[in-house]
Amino acid sequence: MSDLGPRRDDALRQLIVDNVDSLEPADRLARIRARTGTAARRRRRRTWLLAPAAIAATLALAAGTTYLLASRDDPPPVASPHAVAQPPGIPWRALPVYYAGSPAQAGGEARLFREFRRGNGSDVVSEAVQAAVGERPQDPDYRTLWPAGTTASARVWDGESLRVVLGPPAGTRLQERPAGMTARAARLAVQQVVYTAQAAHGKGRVPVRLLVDGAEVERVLGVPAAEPLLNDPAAEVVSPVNVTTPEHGFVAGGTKLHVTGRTTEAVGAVVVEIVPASEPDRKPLVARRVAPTAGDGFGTFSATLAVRDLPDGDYTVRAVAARRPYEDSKQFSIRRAR
Amino acid sequence: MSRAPRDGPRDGQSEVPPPSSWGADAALEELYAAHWRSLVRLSTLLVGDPGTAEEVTQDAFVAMHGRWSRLREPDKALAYLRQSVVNRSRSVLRHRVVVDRQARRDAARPAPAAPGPEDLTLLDERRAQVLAALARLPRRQREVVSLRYYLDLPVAEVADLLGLAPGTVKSHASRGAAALRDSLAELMEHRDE
Repeated sequence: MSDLGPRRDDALRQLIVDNVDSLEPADRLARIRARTGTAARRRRRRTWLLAPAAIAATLALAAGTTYLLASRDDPPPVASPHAVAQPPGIPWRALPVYYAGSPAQAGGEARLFREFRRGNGSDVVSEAVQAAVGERPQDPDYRTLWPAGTTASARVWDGESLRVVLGPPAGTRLQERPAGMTARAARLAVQQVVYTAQAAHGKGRVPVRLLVDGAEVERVLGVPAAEPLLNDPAAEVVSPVNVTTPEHGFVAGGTKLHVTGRTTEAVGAVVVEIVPASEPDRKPLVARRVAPTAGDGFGTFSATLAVRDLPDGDYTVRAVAARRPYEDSKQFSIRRAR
Repeated sequence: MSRAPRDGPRDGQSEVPPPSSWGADAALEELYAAHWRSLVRLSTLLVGDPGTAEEVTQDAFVAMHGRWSRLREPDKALAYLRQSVVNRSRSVLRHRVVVDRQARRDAARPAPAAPGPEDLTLLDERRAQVLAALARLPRRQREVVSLRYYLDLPVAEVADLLGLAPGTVKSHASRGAAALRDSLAELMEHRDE
């Protein structure tokens, strides 16, 4: 707009974008399909879809779905609106999976972080718990706490609770705490499965019974498990700050980066900032301070950062609690065509 | 970490490898994944409420699916979707004017249910202010400002989409922006940056 000062223009643009980008529309793909007579399509471009960055990107893109799911595992249990969100036949969906972060991200204590990955939709709870115990997270700051080679599958029990069947790696029983694993890490490993199963099931904080090789056991990793387990309070085990989008490896091509995430309890304001990936300690190139909207136990935040002045390259976007040493970060790149 | 190069309109969120072999169903899914959110938000700017905007945008996607045999290319389909969202949003507003006039005649109709201030979070409140300021603009200005400022479309594309001369787009944009800066001055001063 040639006759206007570009800076005043940007401020107005940002105001409009921020306020409308914080709206998350409901997912209406199923309704549109119903009206067009479209059967859910099996994705064909397997190779493209299997690249992890493409999966991350697609999750970020599959707006309605991702955001609908993103809010699904928030406590407290609600009369499941998500029960109708996933009609049969939809070829894939986002799986919420919990991993442990590095202690540096949460004031020196390992906490659980949630990331979304792509599932094929046939048995989401099994897929999600298998990813939690046995697959590498996309974010390199995260890791699974389970011994390598552990497997997991899940089924709904009595319609009310979940049973997760763990398969121990060869030569182990998974019942005792392995040498070298702290009691805290063992408890967090068990919670990784509990939170993941509850979130993927999407029916609130239901009890989760752990079995090993199909059999009921007294302990799992040394943690009492003779009874169905409930999740520990989020304030004790979940990271206070968790970035949801962009996902690790996201490639931005435009002028803005939309950042969303989740906080627990009273974290207060969150500063979202971008630094060059190679110089994480330098002064942020772009920063915004946002106030999470409060939810029940969790809050959510979103910020749109102007990246039009940043050259193509690799960056880290970081969300940091303004007053506490809690943070989460994702690497992303800016690549502009032409 | 492996990365796929991506580019597209509006915060680089479009990542649609454009196979020419798309059928209508494939086009629907890909365009939905890439543009559903931004189109609903565009319509929200035009009609003022997200629920109506979802209806409007849903109709636009259904219509696009029906026309796919004539569109055949993702770019054309996206242009069609945008135009369809703008036109349908306009009809909703026209319809509303008629309904309101009727309501005033009936006089017995209760005021539209607006959330009480205690229901609004700060964010909702700010958004409501932005949407109210847009709603006060003349229709053309509102459309131009939304397409230019929210979708980041170049003047030529906005002109094309609305069937206006580029000069007219520019003057609507500058008048609309000036009016918005005026009515949103307070919000702009209290921004975080």
